[in-house]
Amino acid sequence: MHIERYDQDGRTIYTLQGRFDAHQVPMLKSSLELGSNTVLDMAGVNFVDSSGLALLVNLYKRAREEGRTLTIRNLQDPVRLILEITGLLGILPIEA
Amino acid sequence: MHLALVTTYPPSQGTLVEYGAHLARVFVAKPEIERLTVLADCLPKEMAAPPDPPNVRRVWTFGSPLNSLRLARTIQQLRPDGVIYNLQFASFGGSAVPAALGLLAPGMTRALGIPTITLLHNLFETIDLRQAGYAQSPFKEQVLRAGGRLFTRLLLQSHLVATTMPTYVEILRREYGAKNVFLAPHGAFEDPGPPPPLPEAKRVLAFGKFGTYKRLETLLEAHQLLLKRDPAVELVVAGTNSPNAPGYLEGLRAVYGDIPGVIYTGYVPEEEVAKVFSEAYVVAFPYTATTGSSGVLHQAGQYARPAVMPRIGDLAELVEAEGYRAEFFSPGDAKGLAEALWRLFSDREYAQQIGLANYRASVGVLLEDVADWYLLHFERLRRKYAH
Repeated sequence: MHIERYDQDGRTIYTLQGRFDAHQVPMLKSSLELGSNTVLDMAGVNFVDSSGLALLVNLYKRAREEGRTLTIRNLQDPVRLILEITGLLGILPIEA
Repeated sequence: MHLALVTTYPPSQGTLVEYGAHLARVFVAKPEIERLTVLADCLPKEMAAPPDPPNVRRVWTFGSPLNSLRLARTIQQLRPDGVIYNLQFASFGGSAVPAALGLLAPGMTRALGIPTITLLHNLFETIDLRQAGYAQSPFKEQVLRAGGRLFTRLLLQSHLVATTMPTYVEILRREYGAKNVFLAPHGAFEDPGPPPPLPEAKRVLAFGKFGTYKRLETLLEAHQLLLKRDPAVELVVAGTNSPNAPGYLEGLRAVYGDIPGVIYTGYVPEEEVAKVFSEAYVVAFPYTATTGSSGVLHQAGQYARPAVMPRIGDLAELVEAEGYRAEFFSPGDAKGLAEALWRLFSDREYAQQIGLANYRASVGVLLEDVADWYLLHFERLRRKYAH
């Protein structure tokens, strides 16, 4: 998985590319730092497994507890489908 | 939040007891949970047991037709903020009537106006009822299937139903038009730390509650074949009779009792589970059918043990979908099972690779992470039904 980080309009944006699975999650965990307003741009992510979803839930909970904003955006259809089947599509902060 | 968890609970020997105990452990550790009440199954009178923790109330009895009423009455008194049921279709009884009547409980909880989630570990549609020992004739199977559909519909009266397999979500949506179903991973019970190395001893472990769809005849025959190759091979049968198959293990020992190298441990208390898995070289799944996502597979993964499985139903699907690996054999084929086990015994590096793949798949999602999913679903339900 490839990750890039840049700042734009006061937001910290991470663009993720590749598979978001059990083998990549440890690397992602160590790379992602929550700013006051963080965006995960998942346009380049074509696969998420349950460990990837667990990381998204974990980041969302942490952001809420610390009073930060987290937004997830640009979901590919297979990723949207797994979020829908897990019921997380209506729970996680996903930008339309 | 005051959460009530309806489950079997140790030292009960009912199904899903380990899962229920770990669910209780992870929920109670969550800062959102101010109070957790476990509504557990009553223990048999003859069972000597230490006192339960103060938050455990034993209010229902396996096999009783009154369980849903007892649960509804207790829940009405407690008025928790949410109730989660840890269930499979035979959780409340070994025969159709008490099993089915018990499954009314989630719908009754919802009717009390309390947010209710049912974690359903299996579906009637995916179970070979005859192989699993629940129906002995085609007629009884038809009757059970019809009853199963009815009671699946009743279970769907929960506000939400969680399943651990994507195919179960699809079936419930397609066959029942359910819109309140979601997928929640099984989750590893705990972070096991670094994977333990494989032992030197060639020891096969079969773990679980035996006698319905977990049957040991083929495995014992495979063990006899393995003994011809290496007399030091051991087989550990760890567990008890299924509540639906009393006397099975005793009958088995009467027939196969003279085979050397077979150890029957009986009930394995929670604190002994790690030792039992760590001392095993491989975990065998002597299943004739499956009834859902396998907790034993997740445990094998936690301890980095390779698995040997039959090519049946959703077991193979689970292996592939969740990143697990296994050696496979045809159900009922003792020679094939012996060959699958020997492939692992004869190639230690290969066995380690499979064990490590299972370890990575198992620890990818911990049950404590999965508990967060449930809490987010409860939060949403509570917002939705607050007014």
